[in-house]
Amino acid sequence: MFDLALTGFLAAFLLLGVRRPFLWVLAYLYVDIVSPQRISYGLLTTVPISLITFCLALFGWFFLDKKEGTRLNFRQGLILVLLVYCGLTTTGADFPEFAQYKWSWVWKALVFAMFLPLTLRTRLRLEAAALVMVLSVATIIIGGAIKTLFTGGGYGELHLLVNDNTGLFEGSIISCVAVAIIPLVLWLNRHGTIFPPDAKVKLFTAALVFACLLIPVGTQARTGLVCAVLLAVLMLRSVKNKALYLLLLPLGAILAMPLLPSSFTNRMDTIENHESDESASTRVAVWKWTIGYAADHPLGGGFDSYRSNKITVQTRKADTNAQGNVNSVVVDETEDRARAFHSAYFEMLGEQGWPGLMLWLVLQITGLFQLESVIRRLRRHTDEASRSDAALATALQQAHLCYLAGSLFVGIAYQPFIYMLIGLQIGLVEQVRRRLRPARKVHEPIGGAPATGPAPATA
Amino acid sequence: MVDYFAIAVTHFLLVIAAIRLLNRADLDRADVAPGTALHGAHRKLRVPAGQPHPAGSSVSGPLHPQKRR
Repeated sequence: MFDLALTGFLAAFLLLGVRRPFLWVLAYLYVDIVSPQRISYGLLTTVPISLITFCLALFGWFFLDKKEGTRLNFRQGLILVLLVYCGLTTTGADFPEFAQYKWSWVWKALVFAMFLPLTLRTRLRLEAAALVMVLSVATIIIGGAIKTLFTGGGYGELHLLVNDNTGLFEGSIISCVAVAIIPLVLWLNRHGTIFPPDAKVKLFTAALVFACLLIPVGTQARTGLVCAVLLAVLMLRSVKNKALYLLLLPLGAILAMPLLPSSFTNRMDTIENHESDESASTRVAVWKWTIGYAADHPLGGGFDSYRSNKITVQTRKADTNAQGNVNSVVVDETEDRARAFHSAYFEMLGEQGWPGLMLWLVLQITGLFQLESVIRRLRRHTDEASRSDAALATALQQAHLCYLAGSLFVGIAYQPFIYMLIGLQIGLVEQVRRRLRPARKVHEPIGGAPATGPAPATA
Repeated sequence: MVDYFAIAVTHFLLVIAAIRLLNRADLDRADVAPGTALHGAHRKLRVPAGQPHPAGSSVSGPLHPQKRR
């Protein structure tokens, strides 16, 4: 029954695309995030739906969509260069089989990131893409949050939709993404036109934001807490009533503390004292190894090059008495091999070398600057469209900064969801550029008066 | 059970969104063309009477009749 409903939903979505081909792009976003083929047991597991929706999206845009005003953004060029570079390192990878497997999904994420902005020609399309992304991730988040409320969750114990610790179903990744989408959820709540703001939308938004914040608690991923703290600081810039926000934020944190499970607070304590935690100590050891590896392989070792590492990790645990005095320090030494990078930055360095890391960093940083430029450009504009665009730019910037903070501790350099966010960013930047360009021309003063629109009333 | 609930809620909203998008003309109409119906910024622009449009604003079509006075 469940399979039938899921298959019916997807079939209906694709059928609707016959009338509006852009729905095929939305269908691909949905399929790539929710992975219905992984949560289903029947027909969908046997059909390559990701490939089908990808081809339909491409077909719809190429043959049925308008393309006037479309132009490539600098960042799409950067993604293309990164794609080619990743392809080159894959051919000479240290572990060709593993590299081929990773390449099989990375190229799709990169190609789609280049393609998505081309389809985002209208403001409604941008909103629709953001909405589908949020609702698709919410499919994973809502279930995880309810389980957290009932069971308290646990590190590696919270099962999200499928019992598969990869992609968005992995605790640290979903924690980072759950926090990163909060600004988008809030933007949709305030500026959405598909679901215009009303009491029901506000209620759903509040519930979803709460669910997003519960995910780091349920997964007990330290990454989530880091992202949440960063977002709390970043939102200071965008909230209307800063004084009230500054008052409520610590109050909320104080009220939430006693409700948090002790296993969560214990794990968060290891952020400060990473030497007592093997997982954190291993990361530091892998990062040191990666720097040495990059010195030997400056052009990168291809995907999954971490498999050649062999590290020794020392953990120190202090045994304290009731007064807090240290009785003894237990030093433990463990050997480990083939440990993943656990950081997007080191993932890029180890796999793509210095050129790959630089390309990736430029891609991220230029995005932040482009969005900042949109915010500043629209700052003095009072029309609804500009205010909405400026708010979206702020939301996407906050989401991206959360990602950049979260990716310090998780290997999500090629996470498809993040490339979709990048696609949205490029789409917004290009749309604002197109929208303002003709306006500038028509406002060029001719004889001291605005070129179009009624002359200001003087009498 | 919890997962089914989450799937039901979000997929219901996705269906509603898709149906609403089908009926929106501005889904496919580029908002770059000035003066089109989609170019709705002028409808909500708050320009004080007697003031020119802010430089670089997206407004390019005629103002709302009320604002024209």
